Amino acid sequence: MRSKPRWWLLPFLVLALLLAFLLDLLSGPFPLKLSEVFSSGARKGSVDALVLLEIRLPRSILAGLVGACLGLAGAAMQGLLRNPLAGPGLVGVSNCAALGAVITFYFGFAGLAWYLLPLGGLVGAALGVMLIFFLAGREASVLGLILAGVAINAVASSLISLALNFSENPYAMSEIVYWLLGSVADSSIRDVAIAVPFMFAGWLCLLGSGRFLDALSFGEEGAQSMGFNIGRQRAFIIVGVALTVGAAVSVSGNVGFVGLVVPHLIRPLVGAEPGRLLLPSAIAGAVMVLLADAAVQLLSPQQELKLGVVTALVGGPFFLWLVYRMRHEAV
Amino acid sequence: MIPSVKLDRRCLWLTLLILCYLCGGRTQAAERIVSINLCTDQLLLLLAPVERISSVSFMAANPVYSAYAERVGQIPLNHARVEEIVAFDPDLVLAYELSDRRLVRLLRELGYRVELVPGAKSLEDVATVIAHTAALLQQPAAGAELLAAMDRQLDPGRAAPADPRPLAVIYAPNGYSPGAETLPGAVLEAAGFANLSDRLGNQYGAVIPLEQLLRHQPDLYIIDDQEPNMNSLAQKKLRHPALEKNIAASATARIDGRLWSCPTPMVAQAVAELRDLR
Amino acid sequence: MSHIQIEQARVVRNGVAIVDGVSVELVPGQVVGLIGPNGAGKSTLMRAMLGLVQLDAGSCRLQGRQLESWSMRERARQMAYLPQNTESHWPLLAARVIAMGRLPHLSYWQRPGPGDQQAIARAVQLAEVEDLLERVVTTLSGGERMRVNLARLLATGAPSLLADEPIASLDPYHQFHIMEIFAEHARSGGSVLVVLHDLNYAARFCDRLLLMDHGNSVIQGAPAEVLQPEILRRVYGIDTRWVESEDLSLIVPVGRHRSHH
Repeated sequence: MRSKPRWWLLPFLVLALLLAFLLDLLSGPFPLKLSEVFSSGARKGSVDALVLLEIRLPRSILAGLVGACLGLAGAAMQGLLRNPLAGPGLVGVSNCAALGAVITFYFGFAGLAWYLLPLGGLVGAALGVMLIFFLAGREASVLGLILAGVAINAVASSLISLALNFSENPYAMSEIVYWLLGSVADSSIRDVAIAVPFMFAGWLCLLGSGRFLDALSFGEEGAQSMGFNIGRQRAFIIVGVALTVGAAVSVSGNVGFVGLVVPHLIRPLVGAEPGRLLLPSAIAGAVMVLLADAAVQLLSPQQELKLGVVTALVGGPFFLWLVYRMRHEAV
Repeated sequence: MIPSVKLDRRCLWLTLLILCYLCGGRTQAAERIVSINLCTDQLLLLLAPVERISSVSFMAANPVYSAYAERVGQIPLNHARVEEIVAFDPDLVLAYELSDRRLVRLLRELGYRVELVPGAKSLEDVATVIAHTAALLQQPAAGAELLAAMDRQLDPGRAAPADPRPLAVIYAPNGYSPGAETLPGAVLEAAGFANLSDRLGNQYGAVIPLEQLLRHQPDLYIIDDQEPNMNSLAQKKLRHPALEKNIAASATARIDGRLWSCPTPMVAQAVAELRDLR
Repeated sequence: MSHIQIEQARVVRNGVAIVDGVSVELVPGQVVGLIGPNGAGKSTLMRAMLGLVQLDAGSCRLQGRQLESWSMRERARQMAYLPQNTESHWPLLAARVIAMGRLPHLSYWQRPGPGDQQAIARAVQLAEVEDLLERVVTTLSGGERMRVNLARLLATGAPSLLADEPIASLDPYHQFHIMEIFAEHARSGGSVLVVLHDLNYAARFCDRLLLMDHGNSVIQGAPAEVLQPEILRRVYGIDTRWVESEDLSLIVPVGRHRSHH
């Protein structure tokens, strides 16, 4: 594998982010007449302005934020567990977050205070990360990690169904698809507002852990002997992953494979350094989810596909290829 | 088009008579009737005396979904499970056309008489279903009475509708909007509105994306949300700020979903209520 | 003043004393060899000196001050550690691995300055890894990788180097090379503690040896005092013989000792 830091990576990703954001903003059931929007800035009643500001903009912003969270959390988890398969979806952290969000949402807690829904996601995600950490062990083998992930995913998704079953709501059962596959359709600025504080806090935790993740390349004792308080640093990352994944999942469901695929694509371009991987993975995650959301709207503008279907269609084959390659490298 | 309910009536009475004859000839009037569906529950509660009803489904007792919940009283409730149903030893089980097929087949194999009541897509269908059920229960007089009352309530609607018809949209949780080939769609038409769902080509109804809804700027939003205080994503969609802003600028009505969720005489009240909004 | 001084160290795990009453001192200018059979407690003693393992009894001083009173980061500037398994988890560039040696000197958002660059350049020169800088560490041979990791240790600028079996699986050329780097570090005022299995390298490159067995210190002193055939027979269960050849004296294992269990 060629692995060399590329100077053009960040400018390229920022440009891609801008383009993907614009593409997502412009895709929808109808072409948006931009002239209408701008000429009628003062005219509040314009439908195009309403559609752009209240429907498409919140949706695209949320897609970007969710993607950034998942890409960043994936990069951080892979660094922490020193395992290239440790995406938040594959090891069950996303489903645990969804479980936390489902419980707070369907049993009415989410209505009590704005922060309770993302908090529910956060608690679920934190439990998920801790569970995978203690179940798979620190020096997790690929097999151990995947097995633990399968178990956590199975338990979490069946508990989601159970919780939805118990909620006295005629729509709850059909909404299981949203929680397991994810979507940003029809999200409003309120969804963005409740998730953003948690997401930003998580980004700070994770982006500040770059140096520690670098040192962790040499094992836990290696990192300790390089001056890092491993318990505190690890807790920092667990909290960061819980904040980002918890907030993202509680407002968009479980959009799979982003946290797995994105760090993989970026890794060779940053010389495989776990610390340098973080920021580009966040941006590339945003690009991936924005493109997936644009694809969702282009493929079926009326009866919308779930976002997770598109990311899984990209991520699934990628994962197969990864497994294939790892088998051959192991031999 | 306002449905010409009266014209079809002759045909209907004939069917009714034949049915009565068939049912009457075959069996005694059922005495231990079990209904396992919200719609058949309501028809049963309307048409049969309480002492002949062994059980209705648990939905029938929920006033949010059942227009006749107060009539349930002490009648035992069931959850449409075969063991519960068999325990009542029914001589007639009323199920809906789309009830669980395996349950219906099993009950029939066990030797129980199961009658499937058809659904309704129009006001004529409602009349047919009521007549059909009345015949099944051998209560033709009660059926005729209900139909007559319905006709009386619908009568003022026969006045020519304002032209052009105002554009209305029924918006249910998930953004679902029923079209012409549904009971709510028929009610909307009878009340003199044009249905946005029809205009978009959704005869049977479909999800209308929020953006599309805003573009068509309907004159009337009819929000069909039976339990607005529940927590679901489906209902959260009805509280989207863009929709709220747009709704504030046009007419809105909340309709009691019980009025048109089943083929009962309540549909006439739904027509009357909507007609008043025009 | 000694760099690191551990006294009467005792480490107990699951009721068994893995290290029991061992004292050793790292002083400037000296390479100390830590030898003993497998499971003697050498690695645990080394990790206790680094503060990676809690002492159950005894004390450890770094630059004359109690080890506990140093922060993790300060410790990392004084002692650099090379664990047994140096395999990197990611295909990193060798140049970046060496640069990571400066991590104990950088705060979270700080970029490496000219001082850091200078330390890195010096380490690269000492470890002779100039032509490996653009290589990916996972593609390097064992010896090359060890030199890169050693360069990372040297780049920290720590006075004390602690290496756990650094030459165990290397070819003789690299074994000499690595040991020479340690000797050079000591000559320039540093201190080195190195776990070794090869008694000849221990005799040749170490100023002092500590022989451990079953968690205890058997003997400590100059190589000639420690590497006596009767002591080695008792500890390792092998017969050895000193062989003189021109200006060299070599210790040669001749076989297992019969009565050893």
